[in-house]
Amino acid sequence: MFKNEELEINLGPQHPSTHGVLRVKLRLDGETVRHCYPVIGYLHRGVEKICENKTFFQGQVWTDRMDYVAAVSNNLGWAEAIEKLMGISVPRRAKYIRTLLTELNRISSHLLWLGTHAMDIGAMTVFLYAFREREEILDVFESFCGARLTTTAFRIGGLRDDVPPGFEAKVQAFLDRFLPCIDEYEDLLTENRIWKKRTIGVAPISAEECLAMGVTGPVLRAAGVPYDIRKAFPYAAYDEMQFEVPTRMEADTYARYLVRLEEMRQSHRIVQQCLDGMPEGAVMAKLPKILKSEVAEVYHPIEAPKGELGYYLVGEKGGLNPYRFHVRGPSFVNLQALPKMTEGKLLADVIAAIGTLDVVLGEVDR
Amino acid sequence: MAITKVWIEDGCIVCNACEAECPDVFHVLAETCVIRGESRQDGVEDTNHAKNPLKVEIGTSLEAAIKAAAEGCPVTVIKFEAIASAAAPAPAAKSGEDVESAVDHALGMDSAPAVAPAEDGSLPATTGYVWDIKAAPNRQIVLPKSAPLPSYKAFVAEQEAAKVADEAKWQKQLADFETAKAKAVEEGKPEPKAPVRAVPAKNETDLVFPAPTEAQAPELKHLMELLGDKVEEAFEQAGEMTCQVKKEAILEALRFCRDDQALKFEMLADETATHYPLGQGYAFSLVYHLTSVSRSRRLRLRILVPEGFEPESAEQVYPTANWLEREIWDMFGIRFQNHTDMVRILCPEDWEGHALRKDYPTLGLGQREISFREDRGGMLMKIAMEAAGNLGINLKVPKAE
Repeated sequence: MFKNEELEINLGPQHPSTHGVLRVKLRLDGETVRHCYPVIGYLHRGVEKICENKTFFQGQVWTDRMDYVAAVSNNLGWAEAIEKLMGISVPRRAKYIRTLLTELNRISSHLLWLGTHAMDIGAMTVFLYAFREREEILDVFESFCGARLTTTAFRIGGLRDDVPPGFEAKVQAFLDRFLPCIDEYEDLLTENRIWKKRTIGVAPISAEECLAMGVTGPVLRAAGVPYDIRKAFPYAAYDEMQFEVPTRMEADTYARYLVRLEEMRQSHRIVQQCLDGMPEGAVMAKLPKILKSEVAEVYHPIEAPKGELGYYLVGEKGGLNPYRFHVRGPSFVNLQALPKMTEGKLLADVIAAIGTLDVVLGEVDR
Repeated sequence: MAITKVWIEDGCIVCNACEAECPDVFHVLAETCVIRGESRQDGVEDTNHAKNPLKVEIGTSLEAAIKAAAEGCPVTVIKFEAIASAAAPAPAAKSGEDVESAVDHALGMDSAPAVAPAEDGSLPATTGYVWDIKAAPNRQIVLPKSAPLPSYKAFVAEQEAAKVADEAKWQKQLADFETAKAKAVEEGKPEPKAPVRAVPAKNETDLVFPAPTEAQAPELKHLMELLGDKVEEAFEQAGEMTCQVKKEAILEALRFCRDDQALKFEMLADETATHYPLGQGYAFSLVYHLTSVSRSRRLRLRILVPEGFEPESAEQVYPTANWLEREIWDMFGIRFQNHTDMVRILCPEDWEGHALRKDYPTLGLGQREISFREDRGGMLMKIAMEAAGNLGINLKVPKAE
């Protein structure tokens, strides 16, 4: 009863709040975390090795299965990295449709994050609200490519098909009712006393530490650094879009929550601009029947919902598959900051920290 | 053909594969596999080291099953003798020569291994867990045919060589035409058509290869000034800057990139490696993707390291390199000096091999050794061996302690 030695416990690998199979070795002094060591690899499938042995077209289905809640973003990175490697120019209409779908995917990924993060901390209701809207986005994906989660939405050089009839109306219907929904989530959480107590000042990480640890995405922006790859290194059709990069200075869990909510509003803006300014024309570039690479290496980063998603590709002369394929997953690098965010804090804050980092273990382990 | 004798040599791992294939002949006991008494002329049930003959009807009717069992045996201890069957002559055995060669082939089984070579002439794997590619050809390994290291110098050299070859081809065409013309004039025939120099086909696709160009960006020039002769090569390709430095100078280069006011690359976005088994004087390229958040610029630093070289860890400059370098150690087997936690990250600690090397197979490796220490009665082991045998996986035989 009055023991005061340090206690070592395992959080996970099978724990509902770890969002997958993440194991965290914790050394506790009472309720205070003295040491935190994430152990990963339980979901390792060797995606990089597999893609190196598949053709450029076949590799895309594996990118769906890395960050499986943001498959469209992964597809976009994959397609654009290969286009950069080979020097393919994509038609403008295809770029717009890609941007539209990727932004919808950002909303759906943030909704899933919001629901599960709130549920981890103890607010059950938001989960049901968030999934109500996410369902509509998945319906849009289904009408576009037939799949809801593992989309394989794009092709190298553009899109396989143009959007189906009635697509624009469907997206517009979603946009029309989505903004009030964000206000509903805010009603439930933003001024909620329990929510504020569980998130304000919890799991802080400063901007300097973020940059040193390579942490990107909403976590970095909530620390006051307006680094968004959509603005810094524009890709797809983002250079033609008007949007803002929300930042906060507090660098805690509450600030990240506010940043992500604001990001959903900005995504809504981008989708609306894509719909309004959708150009006419072809959706597929003119390509040879068989795509062969030349000797080149590219690193193509995109702003995935979780942060910087980078694909590194090395091409071989006349190669049908990448000589080397590497994924810089935002979840993998961000998770590394977990000890920095939790050591010296309370055990209950570890759960909040895992939630606020928004890791998907399929991408961490690949 | 018919099987006359079949016997089991020492080294059976009791995997049950043969009994599953041909239960009338093989019977797997706790220690080894035996040949059933019912199938033999002498009626004894043992491993048949004495090579007593099989019953004739069994040897003829179950020939295919016995052969399949012998081929499927993971440790190839099932051996057999066969002769050309009188009851069922081979369809090709019409002329005397064919019969002779068939008999020769059958008798050749005595000395040659019982397992027939695969179609491509290579022998199947003998035991489990072989690293040697030649000894285990069923492992799928696609070894690269070249070492595609992107480089401006190599690209220019290749273009020059192509130009020279093209010119030589054209000169040869011209010379051929001249001789043909002279010959035609001599013989009084009409002159042949003059050759037309081939022009490269017009590119009708939206595909333009991003060729490497000389270093123009101010960052690259500044870095080249700072590092002097430690820079091996600097070029730009596909809008990306690449600077290859000497492998000993990587830490210095990273420090310059982070701290110099004109460079200010605050973040290490990514660090990874590529395996080049055919590289001349190097085996791996290590690339560091740096990002300047304040200036929105990116830079790739590259070093080439030979097998066994341990580069300095970038962790001292960029703490994020910790996990990234652990992943490189895990996947490529490159160890880093002064790294605080040099252990595997994605694979378990006791994993054999490094998966992203080009000589690591995509099939046939990766089964884990199972420890049977706690399994006193041997039941777990039997089940595991059975399951593994059904899957065609070779487990190591546990050693007695």
